[in-house]
Amino acid sequence: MVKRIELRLIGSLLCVLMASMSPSARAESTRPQESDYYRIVTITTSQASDSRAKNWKPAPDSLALEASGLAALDDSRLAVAIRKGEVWILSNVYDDPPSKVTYHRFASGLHEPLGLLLHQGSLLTMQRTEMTRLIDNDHDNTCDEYQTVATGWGVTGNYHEYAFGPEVDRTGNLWMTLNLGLGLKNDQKSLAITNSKLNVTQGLWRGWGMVVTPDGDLKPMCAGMRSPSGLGANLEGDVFYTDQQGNWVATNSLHQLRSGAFFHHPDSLASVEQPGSTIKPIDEIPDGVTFPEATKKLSILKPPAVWLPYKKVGQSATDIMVDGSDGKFGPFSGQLFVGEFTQSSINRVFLEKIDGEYQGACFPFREGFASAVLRLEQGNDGSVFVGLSNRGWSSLGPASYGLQRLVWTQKIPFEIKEMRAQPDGFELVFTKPVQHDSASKIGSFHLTSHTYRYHSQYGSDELQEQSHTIKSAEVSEDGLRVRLRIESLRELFVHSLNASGVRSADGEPLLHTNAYYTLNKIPASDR
Amino acid sequence: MRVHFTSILGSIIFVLGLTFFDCHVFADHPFVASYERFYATKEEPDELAGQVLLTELNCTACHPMDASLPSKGGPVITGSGNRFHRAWLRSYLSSPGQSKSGSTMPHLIHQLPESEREMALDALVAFLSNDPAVEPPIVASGANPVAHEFWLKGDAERGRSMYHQIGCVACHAIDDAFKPAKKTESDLERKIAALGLEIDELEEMGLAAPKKVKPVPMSRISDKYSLRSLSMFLIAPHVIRPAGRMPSLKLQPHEAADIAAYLFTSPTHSKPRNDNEKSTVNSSVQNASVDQSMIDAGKRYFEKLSCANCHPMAGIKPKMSKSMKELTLSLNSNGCLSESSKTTPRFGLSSKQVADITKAIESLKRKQLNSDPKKIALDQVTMMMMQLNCFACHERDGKGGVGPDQWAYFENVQQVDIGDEGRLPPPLDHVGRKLTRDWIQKVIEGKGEVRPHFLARMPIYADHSKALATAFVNADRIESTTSSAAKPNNQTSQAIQTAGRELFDSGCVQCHAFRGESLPGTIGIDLADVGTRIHREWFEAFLRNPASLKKNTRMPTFFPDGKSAVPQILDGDATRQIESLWAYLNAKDQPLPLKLEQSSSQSFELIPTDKPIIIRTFMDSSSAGTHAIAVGLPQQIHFAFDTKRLRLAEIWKGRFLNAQGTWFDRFAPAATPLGTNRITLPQESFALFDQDGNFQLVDTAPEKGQTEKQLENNLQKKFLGYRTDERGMPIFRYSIGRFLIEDRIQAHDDNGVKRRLKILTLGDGELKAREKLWLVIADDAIEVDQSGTVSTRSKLTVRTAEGIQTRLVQRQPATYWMVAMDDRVDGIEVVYQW
Repeated sequence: MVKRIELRLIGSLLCVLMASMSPSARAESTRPQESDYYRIVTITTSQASDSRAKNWKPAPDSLALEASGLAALDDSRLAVAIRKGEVWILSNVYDDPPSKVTYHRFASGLHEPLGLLLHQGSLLTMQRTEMTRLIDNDHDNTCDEYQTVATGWGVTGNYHEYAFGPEVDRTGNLWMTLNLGLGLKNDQKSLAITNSKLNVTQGLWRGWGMVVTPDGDLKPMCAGMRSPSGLGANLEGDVFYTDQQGNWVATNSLHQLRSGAFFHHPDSLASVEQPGSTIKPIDEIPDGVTFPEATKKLSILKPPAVWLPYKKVGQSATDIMVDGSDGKFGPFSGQLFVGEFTQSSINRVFLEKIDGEYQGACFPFREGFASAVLRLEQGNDGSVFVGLSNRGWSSLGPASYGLQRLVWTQKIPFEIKEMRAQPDGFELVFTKPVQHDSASKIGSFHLTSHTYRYHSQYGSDELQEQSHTIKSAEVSEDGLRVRLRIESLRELFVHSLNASGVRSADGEPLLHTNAYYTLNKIPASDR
Repeated sequence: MRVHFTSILGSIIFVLGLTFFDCHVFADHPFVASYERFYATKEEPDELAGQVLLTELNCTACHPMDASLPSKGGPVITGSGNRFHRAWLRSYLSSPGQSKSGSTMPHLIHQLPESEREMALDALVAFLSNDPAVEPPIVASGANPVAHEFWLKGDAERGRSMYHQIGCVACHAIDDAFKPAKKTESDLERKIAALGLEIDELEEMGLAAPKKVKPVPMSRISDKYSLRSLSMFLIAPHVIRPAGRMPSLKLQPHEAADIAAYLFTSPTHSKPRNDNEKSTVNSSVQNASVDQSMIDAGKRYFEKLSCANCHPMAGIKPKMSKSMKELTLSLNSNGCLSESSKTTPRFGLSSKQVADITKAIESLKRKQLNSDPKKIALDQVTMMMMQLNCFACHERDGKGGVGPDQWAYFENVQQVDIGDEGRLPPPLDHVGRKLTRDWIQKVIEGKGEVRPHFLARMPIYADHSKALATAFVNADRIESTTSSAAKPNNQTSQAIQTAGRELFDSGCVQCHAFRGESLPGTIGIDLADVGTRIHREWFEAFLRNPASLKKNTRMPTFFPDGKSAVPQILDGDATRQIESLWAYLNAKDQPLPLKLEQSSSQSFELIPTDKPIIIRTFMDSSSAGTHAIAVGLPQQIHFAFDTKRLRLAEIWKGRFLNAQGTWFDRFAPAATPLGTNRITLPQESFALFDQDGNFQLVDTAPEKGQTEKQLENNLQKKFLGYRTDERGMPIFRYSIGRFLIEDRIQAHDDNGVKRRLKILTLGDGELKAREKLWLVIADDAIEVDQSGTVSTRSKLTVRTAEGIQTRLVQRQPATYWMVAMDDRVDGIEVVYQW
């Protein structure tokens, strides 16, 4: 037996020595990491605990910074709404390391505020029952007026009736989104309204997006939401929201908010005949057809600008943030970033307009946050504050709550920056010039497409998946663009690209090889 | 050159690790954990030892026996060529014991002519690569995060910690590179240390010492698996190995990925791969495709070598051999026990293993039916505990338990020293007497979690839960008590339960949790609903004398010499006290023990001291409802305002509110006032009078069938928010029709609430002339005395200042007392007392 061990030792030793000399050993060790380009700075995070436990409570004597709303105030201060109902103002938040952060309570006694917006010099927040302006009349840094900006939507007392926002659009409307209740009890039903034709019961305007106009009127705008926990505007001032996978919602999705649109969930149509409704009442809902079929059968149904394929691009989409830093946050200026609750990460979205409607692609961006990512806010220096709280569900990051900041390291990651639809394929725009050989080889790319089922069940599998033949890959002269010509693209299908064969001019692999384009419309001509 | 230097250094470390690996885990005969632990070094052949080998080496898969010795069965190997690296699979089939030290899989290929063997190995690998690999479904949900390609995202450092903390090391090798967070001495170590000795010295002195436990060998992980296939295996081992010897440790996908990453990089478990290989194997096993003729040939060999006897495969029937009782046993015969047989599998047995198996088979042949059911049950428990290696963690009747080298790796979350029972898996002595059959079954199925403070996890043995639970109950049941445990308890009166609550406060609360609440810093089993787990008889016996049922327990006796330590409760009668505790612990509707209630309140009870506390929350519909603002005043007089109906909804004295539900409960329960002296005000709040004296109530109670919207339409009313004054008192603002109103509510003396209502704007003059706004108090029996004070049936009295216009209106079913709102520039004042 001794002899056998010796032989094994010598063999292994040789093998290891050989490995250490092979060139690929070095390539492996320099494989790009997300942290090389975007660094997470922890301002504060809690201990781990069971976020679904019935008796969950924060550690005694600690400020439970379950960050549910963020607003950057100036070059030093950040306002943070927390779920227990307070707003805190943190100073010195840009310090790195953040060792001198101070905490000051600005407002309290709010009912689960789930958003915060600096608007016309004061903070706006969404409580369960109202949109509230927090005013400091005597300038002592503490709120002394809780002014009701809007109220009147249905609140039956069901826990799932979260209210999110506000977000301001290009005309000055303040948008909010209202969760559906889940499993209304009898006493809650008595506070709800019923559409007996569709057999749905919900509180008034639940599942709707509403606005408060600059004149102060509260108006319902669009419906079909299930759990719309994030709103955000792009640089043009169009406002978007994310929805979360569940009944009638095949996977997480991102939509442009606009009047008259219906997105997923029929429960919201409990309010469709109420005065002010922007949606024409319908008689029935198709249940169990594919999503492309559903859009034909149900004309009010508008496809999302972007589907976020389940697990591949998160499990529970939250906040939306546009990179408005003009390059201070890296090469993705003008793109949207979407928070991800369950996987404790952030995904990235590129949008383009085809025939007047937004559509585009999503990409994994950065993972590894300490808890569920609920809120994103870009700071004055371009870095991004990440508000964390996982209470009620679970997250990959084990902490219960906290605040982190994502800082660009000034290095450009090699990424697919944009994926643009073309009549016969896609155009990819990279953050850095590609190596011509690898990017012009069709074997460097793999493309499949799939759709979803529109049904009352929870989520949907990816259906009718199909591989597409890539006919050619042409690299532009500057090496930043690759034009893929692809056979038989399918409208209303998600097209999943894997470009793992592509290398940058420096020989780097892509930081993220996958992109997912929601091809609602194939453009008629080259753009 | 620097790179090379570190690589060489790494390889030296690796070689040291490898030496460690071989020394510790290498076994030159089949390794069956409990056999190694209890019998391998015993001199005398043992029948039970042989029986364990008969099932664990799958002897009875070919040699039929009665149901008492079922073969454990092998792994599901359909598609295993797509789970394992085919090179590993081929080398394993070629010589299992050499490829995996201690493998219980026999050598089979020698049964083929030598010239055929290489081809047969290729063919078998091809056949086993024909189907897709069997994998568990991974269902992602809000409660179960599953990152894309999670198996690539494992963190070896985290994996190493988990591996050493959740219980893997009870069976598998410890990595010396990992140090436990804190070395906690076991009770035995403490005693030995008190003698000035070390464990190793005990045996030298001829004393009975806890025996070291050899780890169950693993294959060289990275030779065999990809990160993906290993992660999938760790998430649901029973999918691949239905025998359940490797149990599920309830790993979430990312946890499995962490452990896989660790096992891949740890020199204790893997050899580092060269990087050319790594780039291909990290994500999945990428083996070349196979051709059909080889697949067909492989299937023929699979049948010929009777592989299906242990590895069920669709379309292939097992081939049975002589029954166990017909076997002739002789080492010289050409059977499975010999190492030279050319026609039967070779197991590579040690001579001791041969002797034990021989003894077991011989006694089986002349086996007489044991007539003592108790003995049968006890033997069955021991047998199952050996087969499933329960003994690796649990002691029973002095046998087994966590081995001395492993003690330090069992910790609780806060490293609190509460003795062995606060960190080591519990002993299973008389467990069938203690726990109900249902609960035992639940625990074995991984659903009965009462020790959340343990870092180690109770694994899942779902397929054995029923049999094992039944065996424990049959072995340990005390006949006379089962009936008394089932006896309905007719003494659960309120008084008895209240006594139980006081008793809990007087002792139990120092260590035990109750309904998820515990005193700060204490960790202990939650005693709520103990009757769903524990038999009444055991509960009483344990309370009377804990040490008699659990040696070294830190549970103190509260009844020394049978006398209660708390004589003032239930006359100190031990029997009645235990009765009352039992009743309280199993009651659903009793309040928390006072000390727990207080400790919970300390964090969450809102106690206004110098300033008012204002909190928006849900309240009951009979109170301020879904749009409530509750205000607690330092005078300990509090009120709730309904911002939807614009009315003072409830007033109370004493304690204010517990905010835990509002602040932190996912299900957002309605907040309930803590004070006992509560008054709910009537629904009606304002009335509008026209010039003809007709009035309309601004709000009415919702009637059945009336929709929210219809209510909203009653009158245009709008809550506008509140301001706080310099003392922090809220001033509510709202509008009704064209009236803008300011409403201040504050404490009046120390026994009431004073409300000042002021109309700020009245809209246009024409409307002012036509409409008058009145505040309304309604009750079904209002009386007004000479001073103008109104009494209602709910002990509430209301009055306003002299000179303010009031009127009394009867309109079925109530009487309405009304106060004119616009009589004074500085508003009207109304005082509520009760």
